[in-house]
Amino acid sequence: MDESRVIEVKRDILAGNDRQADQFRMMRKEEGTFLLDIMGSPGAGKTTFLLALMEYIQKRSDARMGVIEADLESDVDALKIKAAGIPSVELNTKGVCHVEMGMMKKAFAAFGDRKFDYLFLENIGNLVCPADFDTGCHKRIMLLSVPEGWDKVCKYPPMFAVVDALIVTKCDYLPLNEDFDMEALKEHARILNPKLDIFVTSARTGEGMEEVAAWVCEKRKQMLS
Amino acid sequence: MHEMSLVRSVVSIVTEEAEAAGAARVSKVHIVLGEGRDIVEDLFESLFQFLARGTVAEGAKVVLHTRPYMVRCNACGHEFHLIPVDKRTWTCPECGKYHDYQLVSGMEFYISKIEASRGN
Ligand SMILES: Nc1nc2c(ncn2[C@@H]2O[C@H](COP(=O)(O)OP(=O)(O)OP(=O)(O)O)[C@@H](O)[C@H]2O)c(=O)[nH]1
Ligand SMILES: [Mg+2]
Ligand SMILES: [Zn+2]
Repeated sequence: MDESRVIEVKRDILAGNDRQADQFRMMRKEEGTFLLDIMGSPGAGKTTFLLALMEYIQKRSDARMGVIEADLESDVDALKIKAAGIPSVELNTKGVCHVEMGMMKKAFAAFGDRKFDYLFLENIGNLVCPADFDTGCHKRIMLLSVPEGWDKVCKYPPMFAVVDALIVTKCDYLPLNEDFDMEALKEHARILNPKLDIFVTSARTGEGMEEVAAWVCEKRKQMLS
Repeated sequence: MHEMSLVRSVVSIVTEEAEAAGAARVSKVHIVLGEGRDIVEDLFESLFQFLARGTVAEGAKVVLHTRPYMVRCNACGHEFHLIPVDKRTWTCPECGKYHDYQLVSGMEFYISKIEASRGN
């Protein structure tokens, strides 16, 4: 006779990845490496922003920086970073829509025994999937470009719940996009996350970049203290 | 397609728990899912059927229990249901404080229980 019974489980489906992420985060902290995860839709300006951000950080203090470039297939962005003289590793997800800890650890290992003060991850260009997967970074930010329209923020609420800062990029386009409602964007972005930090930037003109660089440096300091 | 990674993890947790409990067959898997978790239910279900083949969970039914966004008011501690697209719900119904709260639920993603039989 089949006797049916209930087995209480209560186990997080993402626990395996989360555990590895916590451990990775801790180890990087001990080495003094601050990790920043940069997310956003394809073409939001992640690579351009990152290059500008590193310049502004460098202006503030001499820092050792590196980049992990996650890409579905290509190495275009990794080459752009290398061309700027910054050590970079390409993390090819082979079509997978997000970065998981297994990939992250492998990419990090490819740096060998190089040491960093700041390590940046350019996540896969996607607004949905990366939100679920902890990448072992200390802070996560999301980029939203002015040409995408402010109301993108209404379509992906969970993404804004998991990030520490929202960076509005390409603000030099604002004069051309009169319907871009910055106040509505800020209000909606904070629905699930009232404490969300928001910066308005342009990597092209440099607007707001100083502030973001200061924020990143401050977060590293907080991590170390 | 992140469903694949998630389902793989579900199947491995379910088989591990079922085997530890000495179950021969799993008939149902109950999953608690916050509103903020983006998964495609049909895809999730069919991937589960595919990946569970040849395990104790083969043919098991997946039951999803969704949890709404709940927030706790920073001013008075009241917990209430938040609907992102409905601005009226961003204000605490108890004390009237606007947009000042913390998210307490809506991001869940766990296996709550499984139903199994010992078989023969
Ligand atoms: N006007 C203007 N254009 C920008 C700015 N930042 C980036 N762009 C342009 O936007 C386009 C996409 O920029 P990328 O930095 O490659 O964007 P991405 O998010 O890294 O793109 P993927 O990695 O392919 O998802 C490029 O043509 C950039 O020159 C900006 O601040 N202002
Ligand atoms: Mg890029
Ligand atoms: Zn209240």
